[in-house]
Amino acid sequence: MNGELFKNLLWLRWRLMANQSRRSLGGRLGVVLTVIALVGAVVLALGGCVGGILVGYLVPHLHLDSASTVLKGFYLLAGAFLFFWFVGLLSEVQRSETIDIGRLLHLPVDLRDVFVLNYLVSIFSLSVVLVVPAMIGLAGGLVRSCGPAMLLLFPLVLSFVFMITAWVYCLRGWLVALMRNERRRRVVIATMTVLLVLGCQIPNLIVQFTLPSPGHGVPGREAGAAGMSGSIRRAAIFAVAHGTLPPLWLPYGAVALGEGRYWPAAWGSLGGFLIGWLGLHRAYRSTLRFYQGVSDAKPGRAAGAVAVARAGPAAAPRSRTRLVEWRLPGVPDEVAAGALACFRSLTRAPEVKMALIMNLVMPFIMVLLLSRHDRPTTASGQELKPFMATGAVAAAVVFGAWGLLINQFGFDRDGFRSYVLLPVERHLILLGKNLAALPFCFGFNLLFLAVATGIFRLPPGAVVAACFQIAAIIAVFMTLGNLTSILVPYRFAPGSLKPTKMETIPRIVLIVAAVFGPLFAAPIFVPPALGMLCSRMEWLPGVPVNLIASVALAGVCVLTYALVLRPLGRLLQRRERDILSAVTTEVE
Amino acid sequence: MMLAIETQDLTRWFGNLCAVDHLDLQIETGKFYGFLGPNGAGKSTTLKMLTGLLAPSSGTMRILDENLADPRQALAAKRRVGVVPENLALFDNLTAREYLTFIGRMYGMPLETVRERSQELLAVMDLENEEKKLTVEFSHGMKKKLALAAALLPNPEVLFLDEPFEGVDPVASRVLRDTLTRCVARGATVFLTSHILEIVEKLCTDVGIVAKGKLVFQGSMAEIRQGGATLEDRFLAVVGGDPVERQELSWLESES
Ligand SMILES: Nc1ncnc2c1ncn2[C@@H]1O[C@H](COP(=O)(O)OP(=O)(O)O)[C@@H](O)[C@H]1O
Ligand SMILES: [Mg+2]
Repeated sequence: MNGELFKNLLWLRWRLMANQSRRSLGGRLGVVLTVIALVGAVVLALGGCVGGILVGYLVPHLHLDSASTVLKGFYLLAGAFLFFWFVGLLSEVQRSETIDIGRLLHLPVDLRDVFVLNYLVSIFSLSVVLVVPAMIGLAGGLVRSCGPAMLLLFPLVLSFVFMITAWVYCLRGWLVALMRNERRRRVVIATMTVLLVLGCQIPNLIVQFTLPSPGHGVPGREAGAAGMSGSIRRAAIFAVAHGTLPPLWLPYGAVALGEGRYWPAAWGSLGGFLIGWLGLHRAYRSTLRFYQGVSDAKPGRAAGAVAVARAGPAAAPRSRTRLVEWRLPGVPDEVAAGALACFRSLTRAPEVKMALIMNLVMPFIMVLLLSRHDRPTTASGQELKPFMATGAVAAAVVFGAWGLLINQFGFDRDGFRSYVLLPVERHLILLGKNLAALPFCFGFNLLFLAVATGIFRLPPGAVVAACFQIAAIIAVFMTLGNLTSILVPYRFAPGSLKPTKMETIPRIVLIVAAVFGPLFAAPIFVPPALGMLCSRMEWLPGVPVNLIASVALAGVCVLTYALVLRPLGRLLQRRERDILSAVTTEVE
Repeated sequence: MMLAIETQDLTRWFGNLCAVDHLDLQIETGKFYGFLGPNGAGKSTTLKMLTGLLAPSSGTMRILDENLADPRQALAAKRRVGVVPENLALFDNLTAREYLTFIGRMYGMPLETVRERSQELLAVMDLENEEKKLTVEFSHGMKKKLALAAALLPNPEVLFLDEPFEGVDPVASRVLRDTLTRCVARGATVFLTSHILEIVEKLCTDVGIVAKGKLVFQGSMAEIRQGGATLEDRFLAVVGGDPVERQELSWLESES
C-alpha cells in the first residue's frame, strides 16, 4: 500500500465531508453526530475490551470447572458477529464505497489501494465495534490467566473477522452487479431466498447441537443406550461441522486451546486468512468488472442477434398497445400516463426488485418460525385470530410498502426534472405515483394475509375484514408517504433502497419514520378490538362487528386520502424545486 | 516515428449491440487527432476504453508503447496521459483548487509544482475568482474548464478529450483551442472526439471518422483539402446522411 496515495485519499474524504458541512445546516449537524457516534463507538469498544479482559483475567477466580467454559463464550461472540453482519448485508444490498472508484479509473493510481481503503472503511460498523474488542479483550485476559498458548487467539479472531467481512463485501458487490442484469434476476431471487432460509436455520441448528433442548436432551440422558448412540452420532456431526464450516473455526479453535490442543487454532487462523484473502481478491475483480463493465456477450452469438435487431426497427411498429399506452378506467388520462410510466420504471428498478425479494422472503421466514408453534385451538386463541389477520396486514405495510412509499421521488433521480417541467396539476402527479405503487402494496398485503391465513387457519370473516383493512392502511400510508416524499426527499443510490451516503436531516427523519411510522398502522387494530369487545360483552357477535368496522374504517381512510390529496399537491408544487435538487445531487 | 495510440481489432459489445467494431487506429505522436462521427457512433466508447474507464470485449490497445492489457503498463501509461471523460468525473464537493490539488497528488507531483500550476491553470481558465464555490455550484462550462485544467495539470504526453467544446462559451473555447495548440506544438498528442466539424477543421492535423462502430475514414486534413473538399463534404459522404425528407415531420410546419 502506497502511503502518499492513502494520505491523499483520506484528505479527499475529509475535504468532501468538510465542504458538505459548510453548505448546509444538516451537514454541520452531521459532523456533530459523526463525532458523537465516533466517541460512542470508542466508549463501546473500550467497554467491550475491558469487559473481555476482566472476564478472561478472572477465569481462575470464577469457580468454573475450566477455562474452556469461558472459551465457549466465543461461540456466542462469533454467532453475534455473524448475525449482525448478515443482517447488515441484507438491509442494504449495495456497494459500500467511501471513495467512488468510478471517478478514479482514468488516474494513474493502483485501484487495489483504493479498493482496500474502501473495504477497510466498510468494516467499521456497529457489529465490529461491539464484538471484536470484546473478543480481543477476552483473548488478552486469557493470555494473562491461562498462559501464552492463548496468544494464538489473536490471529484466530483476526482471521475470523477478516474472512467474514471480506466475503460479505464480495457478496454485496456481486449482488449489486447481478441485480443490474435483467437476465440473472431470477437466479438472484432464488439464491437470496435459499440463503435467507438457510441463514434463519443456523441459530436453530446451533441451538439443537450445542444446548440440550428441553424436548430431547433430558430424556436422552435418562434413556441410556439409545440416547448414547444418538449423542455419539451428534458428536460425529459436530466434529465434521467444525472441520468444514469456516465460521466455526474460531470457537472450535478457542475451545481446543482450552483443552491444550494448539493445531485447530493455528490451522483455523491460517485457513481464515487464506479464505478471507480469496474473498477480497474476488471482490476486487468484481468491482473492476462493475465499473469497466466487461461485457459477457458472446460475439459469435451476438452478431446474429444484431442482424435481427437491425431488421427490427425497420418493420412496422407493432399494433399491440404497450403497457404505457393503456387507459385506466375512471382516472384522467394524465394520471394514467404517470401511473403506468412510473409502474414500468418501478418494475425495472433493481432497488424495487430487491424490496420485492425481501417481501417474498418474509412470509417464508414467518412460515418457518411459526409453523412449529402449536396452533391456538383454545377459545382465547380463536378470539385472537382476527388480530393475527390484522397483524399480517400491518406487517406487510411496515416491512414492505412503507419502504416504497416513504420516498417516492427518490427513484426518479434526474427523471424528476420532467415532473417539474410538466403542465400537470401536482395532485394528479401524486395520484399517478400512488397508483403505480398500488399493485405492489396490494400484492405484499395479500401475500402476507394469504400466508397468515394458511398458517393460523384464519376464519373467512376475519380474512374478509382484513381485506378492507388493507384498503384502509394503504390509504393511510400513501398519505403519509406522500407527505414524507415531499418534505424529506433524498436520493437513492442507483440500485439500492438506501442512499450510500446521506444528508443528516433526511437521515434523522428516516430513522424517526422507520421507528414511529408503524404506529400509524394502529387504527386498523380498532375493528378487531371492537369485535372482541362486543362479543365479550355479549352485545353483538364479533365477526360482523369487525367486518362492518373495517368497511367503515376503509371508507374514512380513503376519504381522508382523497381530501388531503389536493393540499398535498399544492405542497408538492411549492417544494418541487427543493425536491429536484435533493434527488439529483449526490451526497459524497 | 513513435505511435502515441495504437489499437488492433478493438471491439466492444453492449449486450447485442456492437458499439465499437474491430477498430484499428494508429496515431503518431505530435498529432492533433479529431475523432468524428454521428451521435452513437462509438466515439465515447472508444475513448473510454483507451483511458481505462471501460474494458474492451476484445482487441489490443497500446498507448505510448505501453500495452494496456498489462496492469502495470496500463498504470505507467496513465501517468503520461490526461483525460477529460464524457461525464467529467469531478467530485461535487470540492473547490476547483482542491480538485486540482487532489489530481496533482494522484499523479505523484510535488506539492509546490501542483500549487504553481493550479494557480496558472485557474487563471487561464478564468476560474480563480471562484475560490469559494464548490464544483457542484459550477455551470456546465465551468465544470468542463476545470476538468480540462485537471487533464493539463500533469503536463501529459497524450490528451484524451471527449467533446471538449460542447457547452463552452466562445471565450473559453478560444482559450481551450490555444492551449491545445500549444500542447501539440510542444510535442504532445491530442485525441479529441467531436461532432462540431468547424472546430475540428480549424484545429486538427488528422481526422478519423467512425460510423456504427467502424472506422470509415482516416486521413490528414491536408489530404482532404487537396481534393478541394471540405471536411463536411467528406463527413457526409462517408457517413451517408440524407437530408430529411420533406414528407417527414411535415406537421412541424402546420398549425398544431
Ligand atoms: N453503458 C452502455 N450500455 C449499453 N449501451 C451503451 C452504453 N454506452 C454506450 N452504449 C451504446 O453504444 C453506442 C455508442 O455510444 P457512444 O460511444 O457513447 O457514442 P458517441 O459516439 O455519441 O460518443 C450507442 O449506441 C450507445 O447507445
Ligand atoms: Mg459521446
